[in-house]
Amino acid sequence: MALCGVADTGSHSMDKSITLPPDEIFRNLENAKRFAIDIGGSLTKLAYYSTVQHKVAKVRSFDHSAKVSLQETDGDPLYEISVQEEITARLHFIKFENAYIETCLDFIKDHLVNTETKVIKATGGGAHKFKDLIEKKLKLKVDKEDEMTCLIKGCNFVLKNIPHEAFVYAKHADSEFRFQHTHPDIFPYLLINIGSGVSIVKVEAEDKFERIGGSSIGGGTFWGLGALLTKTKRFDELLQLASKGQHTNVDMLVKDIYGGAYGSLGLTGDLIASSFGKSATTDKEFSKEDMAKSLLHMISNDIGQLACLYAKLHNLTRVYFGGFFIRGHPVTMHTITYSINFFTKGEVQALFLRHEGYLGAIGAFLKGAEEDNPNQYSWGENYAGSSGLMSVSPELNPIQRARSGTFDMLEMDRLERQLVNLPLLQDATSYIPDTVDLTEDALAREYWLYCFEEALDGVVKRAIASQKDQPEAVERAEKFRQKYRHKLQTLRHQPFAYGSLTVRSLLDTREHCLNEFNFPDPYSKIKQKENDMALKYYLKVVKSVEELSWEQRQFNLVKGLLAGNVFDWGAKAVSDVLESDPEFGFEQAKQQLQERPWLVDAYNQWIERLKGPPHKCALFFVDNSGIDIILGVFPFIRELLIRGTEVVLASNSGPALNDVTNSELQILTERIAAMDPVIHAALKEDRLALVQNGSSSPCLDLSRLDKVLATVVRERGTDLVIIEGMGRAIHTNYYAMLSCESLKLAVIKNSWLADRLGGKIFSVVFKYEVPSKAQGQH
Amino acid sequence: MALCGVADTGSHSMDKSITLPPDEIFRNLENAKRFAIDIGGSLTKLAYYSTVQHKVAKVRSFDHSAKVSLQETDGDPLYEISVQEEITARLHFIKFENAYIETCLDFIKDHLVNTETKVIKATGGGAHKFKDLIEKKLKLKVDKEDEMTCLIKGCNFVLKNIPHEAFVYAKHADSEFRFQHTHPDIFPYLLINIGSGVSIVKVEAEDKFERIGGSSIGGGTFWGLGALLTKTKRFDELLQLASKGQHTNVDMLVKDIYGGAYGSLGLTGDLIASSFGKSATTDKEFSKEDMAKSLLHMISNDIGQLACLYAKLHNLTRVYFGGFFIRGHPVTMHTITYSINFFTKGEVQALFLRHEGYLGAIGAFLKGAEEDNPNQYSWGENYAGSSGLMSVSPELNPIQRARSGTFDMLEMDRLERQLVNLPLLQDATSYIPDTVDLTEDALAREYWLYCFEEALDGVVKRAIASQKDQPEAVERAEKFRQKYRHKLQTLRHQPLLSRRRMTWP
Repeated sequence: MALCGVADTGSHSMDKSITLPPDEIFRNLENAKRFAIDIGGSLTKLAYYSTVQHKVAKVRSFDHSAKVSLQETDGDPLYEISVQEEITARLHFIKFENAYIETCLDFIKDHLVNTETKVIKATGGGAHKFKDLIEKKLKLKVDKEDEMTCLIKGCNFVLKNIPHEAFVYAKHADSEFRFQHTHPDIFPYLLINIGSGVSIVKVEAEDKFERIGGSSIGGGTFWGLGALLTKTKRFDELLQLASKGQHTNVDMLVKDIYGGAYGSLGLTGDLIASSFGKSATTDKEFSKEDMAKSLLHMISNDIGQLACLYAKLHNLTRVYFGGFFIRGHPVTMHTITYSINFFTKGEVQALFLRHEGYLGAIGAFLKGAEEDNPNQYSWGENYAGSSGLMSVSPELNPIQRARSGTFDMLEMDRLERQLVNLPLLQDATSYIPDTVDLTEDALAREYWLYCFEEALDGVVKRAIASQKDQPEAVERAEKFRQKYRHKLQTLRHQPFAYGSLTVRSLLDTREHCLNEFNFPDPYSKIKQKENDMALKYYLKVVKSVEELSWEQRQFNLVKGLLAGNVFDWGAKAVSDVLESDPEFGFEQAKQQLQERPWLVDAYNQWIERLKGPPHKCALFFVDNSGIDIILGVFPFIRELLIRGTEVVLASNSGPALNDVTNSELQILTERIAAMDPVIHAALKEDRLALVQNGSSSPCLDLSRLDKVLATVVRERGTDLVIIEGMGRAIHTNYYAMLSCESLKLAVIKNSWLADRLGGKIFSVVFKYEVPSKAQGQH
Repeated sequence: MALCGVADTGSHSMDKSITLPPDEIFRNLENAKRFAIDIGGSLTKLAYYSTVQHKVAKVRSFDHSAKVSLQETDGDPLYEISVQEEITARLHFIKFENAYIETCLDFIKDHLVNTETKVIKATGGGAHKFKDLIEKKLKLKVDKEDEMTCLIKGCNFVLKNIPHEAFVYAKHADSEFRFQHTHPDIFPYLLINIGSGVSIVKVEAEDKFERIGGSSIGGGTFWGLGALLTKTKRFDELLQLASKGQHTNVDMLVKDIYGGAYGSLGLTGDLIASSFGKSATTDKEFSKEDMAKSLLHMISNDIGQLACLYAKLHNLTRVYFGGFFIRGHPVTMHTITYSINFFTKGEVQALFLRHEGYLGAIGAFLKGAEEDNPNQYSWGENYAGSSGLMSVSPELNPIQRARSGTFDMLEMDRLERQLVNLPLLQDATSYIPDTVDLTEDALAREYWLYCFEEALDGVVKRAIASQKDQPEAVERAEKFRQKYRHKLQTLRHQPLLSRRRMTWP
C-alpha cells in the first residue's frame, strides 16, 4: 500500500510522511536476519531477509488400498485437503528518508527477535556517517562493502529475477514506459550510474566489471550549478523548475548563429550549438526555469554522448541508466533518452530500471548472504508487498515532494524451484509471454481493470466460503478486497507501476494478495468436488470415444478437450453459469461450442499430421481441474499414448483459481490409472510423466519454468507442445514461436475478448503450428 | 613588430590599440588581390595575396670563352654581381578586433590599386552581419564560403607549409611549448574546434573531412555560465579569474566522498567526482575565481574526454585543438592537455597550432585562389612580417587585455621551387634538422641570443658596406638593426620563447 496511498493524498503527503508507519513497512521483522543498509545522500535503503510463515493448502490421497472397487468410494471425497503452515524465504527492501533513520533503527531494535544476527552490511556514501549510530542502536557490527560492487551485484540480481525490470521511456508515446522482457543472458551490459558524478561501468559477468569511464558532470553538477544559478537548494525543485523552462532562451542554437540549419554538416537549426551561449553576450536576466532547463539539457546530452561513445567503443548495446539523477524522474529519463537516440541514431536504447534505487542495498545484502547462495535460487517480486513505480505526471501527483517525504518497499519471495527457459522456444531472447501489453492498449486496459474490479466481490465471497470454519476469514477477506482494489486503482492511474501491465500481472497480483491474507487456495474444495464428479464419468467418456471411427474419434477428442475447457472458474461468464446452474454438464458444454469452421481453425492440418508418424513426446500444459483435466485432457492424451507418443503433463506448482495443481494431478492420475489399463501401463513404463511448471499463475511464462521440466523435455526429445486454456494460450503465448510443432487451444469465454478477436463468446481457437525449419527434421 | 611591441608596453596597450597603425599592418596593399575575410564573434581575420617587388643580388659569369687558360683570368673578378628587382608572391594575414573593421575597410579602399579584384571571400559567423558594410566600402562582392571547409583547408595549409606549426603545451616543463616537426603526411587527423560550441572533425585528405561529433559544452558555455556566476562579462577576464581560482573549493573530489582514494576503481582522492558538487549542499558563498576555475576544468575535461573517445573510435593519434576557447590561452591549453593526458594515459597528445586563429581566413582565401594553385607551391613563413605567439605569463605581460586590443599578422612567401624530403632520409617522419632546441636548453639559448646580439653591429656594418653606392642604405640598415634587435629581445623575454622552435644558428 505504502507509497501509493501517500501519492494519492496529494498535497497532504508532507503530513503523512511524518507519520511513517513502521509496522506497515518493516514486515516480518521477528524472523529477520542478514541486514544490509545503503545510505545515500538523502535516502536510506534497508534490506533484510526473513522467513515468512504462511498457510498452504495441501492435498493428500486417502488410503484407497483397502477398498476393492471404485464403486465403493462413492460418497467419500477423492482426496483429503489440509491447510498447513509453510515457511518460505522473503527478501524485504525498504527505502525511506535519512531523516527517519533513527526512528527506524529504534523500531527495528524493538522488534528484532532473532539474535543470531551479528553484523549489518553497509554501503553508500553515508554509511560511515551513521556507522556509530547503527552500531549503538542495533548492537550489530557495521561491515562496510564496496559501493560499486554492491551496485553491480544488485543490478545483476534484479535483471535476472524481476521480469520487466528494465524499461524504455518514451514521453510522447501512448505508454510512457515500455518494459523489456527479461533476457536469459543479461551480460554484457553498460551501467551508467549518475550520482553526484557519473560512473560508466562495463559488466561482463556476475563478478566481472570495470569502470571504463566517468565524468564529473553529473547530478551534483545539476544540483550545484542549479543552486548557484537559481538560488533553489532542493534537487527536486530544480527538476520542477527545469520541467517548466525553455532552454532556447538561454542556449545558442545552430540557427542563432547561421540563421537556419548548417546543412553541409547535417546540423539542424534547432540543435543546441552552445549551452548557455546566449548568456555570454546578452545582458538580460534569464528566468530560473529557463536556466534550469538549459542546465538539464547540457548535462543529459553530455552524459548521453559519453554513454554512446563508450557503448560503441566496447560494442555494447544494452545501456542501463541509474543513480539519483535518474531515479524515476520523468524529466531526466526523457532528456537522457532523447540524447541517446540523437547520438546513436536509434541504434542504442536508453534503459531504466524499476528498482534502481535498491541496487546498492540488494548488492550489500547479497554480499552478506553469500553463504545462503541466493544466486542459486530464483526469486519473484511479491506484488502484494511492493510499492509501484512512481507516477509520471507531476500535474496529477506532486510526486517529487510526495516521494522524498515517504517510503517505498520491495519484497521478493524465494521461489521453491529454480526457473529456466523452455528449451523449445524458437528464440528465447525475443520471447514475450503476454499477448497484449495493457500499458500500451488503453481500451483493453480499461476493460480488464473494470473486469477485475467487477469480479472482486465474487472472489471475496469465494475466499470466505473456502474458510467457512474460520470466523475471522470475513475480516481477512475484507482486507484482501481493500488491498486488491487499491492496487487496481493504482494501476488505473499508473499502469506501469509493476512493469508491464498485462492480464497475467492482474491475475498474479490477485493471487499474491490472496496469499497475503492467508487464502492460499480458495478453490481447493470446489476443485475437489469437481474432480470427484468428473472421475465418475471418465470410463464412460473413454468408452464412448473408443467406439467411434478414427476420424470421428479424433474430432471427438478435440471437442472434448475444448468442452472441458469451458469449465473455467477464472472466466466470468462461466463462473456465472456454474454458480447458478451446477448441473451444467459436459455434453451441454460441447453443444455450446462454436461449429466449425472455428475462429482459428487448423484442425484439418492437425488431422493430416496425425495420419503421419506418431510424435516422440508431447508436452501438455494443462489448465483446470475437474471436467477439463479428467474428461478432456486424459482421453486426449490416452489416444496419443496409444499412438506411441510419450506424454509429459505439466501442471502448476502452486494453486491459482481452479487450475489443477501438480499434487492434485498426481492423485488424479493414480485414480485414473487404477481404472484405465492404458494410463496404468503408461505410468508404469514411464511413458506418462507428471512435472510441475514452477508457477502459481493462471497464465504461463515459458521463460520461467521449473528446471526439472526443462530437463525432462530435453531428455525425452519433445516434439509437440500443447497449451490449453485462455490464460496460457490466449492471454499469454498466443504468439509464442516454438522450435517444434505446437497446438494452442482455448475456448473464448469472455465476450469482450471474443469480440476483439472477431468472434463470439465460446468461439474456439485451435492453432496448430509447425516451425518452417523443423519440417525438414521429419 | 605588431603585437610584440604592444605587449611590451604593458598597461598602455589599450591606448595603443586605438591607434591601430594601418600602414604597418596592411602591407603591399597596392598589388593586393584575392581578398578573403573571416569574421568571428569578436575578431576579424583578413587575408590577401599580393606581389612584392624586392631586390635580389644576382651573380652572372663573365664570358670566359675567349680566354685560353685559367692563368689569364688573374686580376678580373670571377663573376659579375648585379642587384635586380624581383617580384614574388606573398600571402598576408591580418587579425584585428571587429571594432576596427570599418577603419580597416576604409584604409584598404584608399590604398587598393589593383582593380581586377571583384569579389571577397567571406566566412565565419559574422560574415553575413558585415556583408553590406564590406560590399559598400570595398565595392567588392561578398562571396560566402562554408566555415568548416575553410577551417579545414586553412588547417591543412599551415600544417603543410609552416614547420613547427603544431606544438604540445606543457605548463610545468622547462619549455612550455614543444613544437612538433612537420610530418610530410599530415593526414588523417582530428580537429577539435572549440568555439561557442565544439565541433569534432575527422580530416582524411585535402578535401575529405567529416564532422563526427560535437558538443554544446564549449567556449560559449564557459563564457555564458561564467558570466552568470561571476557577473564578469568579458571572456578574457573570466580566464584571468579562472587562473587565480581553486577548483577544489567548489568541486566535490573523490576524497570528499570516500575520505581518500577509491582504490578498487582506480580513482585517486584528488579526482573531481562532481563538478560544482560542493555548491549543491553548502550554503556558503563561493569566490568568483574558484567558480571560474571549476567551470574551466569542467569544460576542458569534458572536451578532453570526448576528443579521446572519438580519437580512439576512429583510430586517430593526431588531435589538434583550435577555436577561440583555445587560441593561445595558456590556461585552456593547460587544462585541455591535462585532460587528454588523463583520459588517454599519454597515448594521445593534445596539439595546438600557432596560427590557429587564421585557419578560417586562410581557407577562405585558398578557396578563392584555387585557380592560382596555391597548394602546388611551397610557402614559407616570413619571420620579418609575422607576429609571434603570445606570451604565457599574465604576470609578465597582461596579455589577454593587450591582445584583444591589438592586431596580429602572418605573412607567407611563395617559394620559387617546390620543397620535398631528401629521399635518402632514413625516416622522414622523425627527421629533425636542428641539433639543439634552444627553447629547451636555457644555457645555450642565453649564449646564442647574446652571441647574435653581439654580432649585430658587425652585420649592420657589413650590410652598409655592401651598398656603398646607395646613401640611404645606412638608414635601412639601422631599421634592420632595430627590427632584428627587437625580435631578439622578444625571444629573450617571451615564453621561454615565443613562437617557433628556436634553434641555432
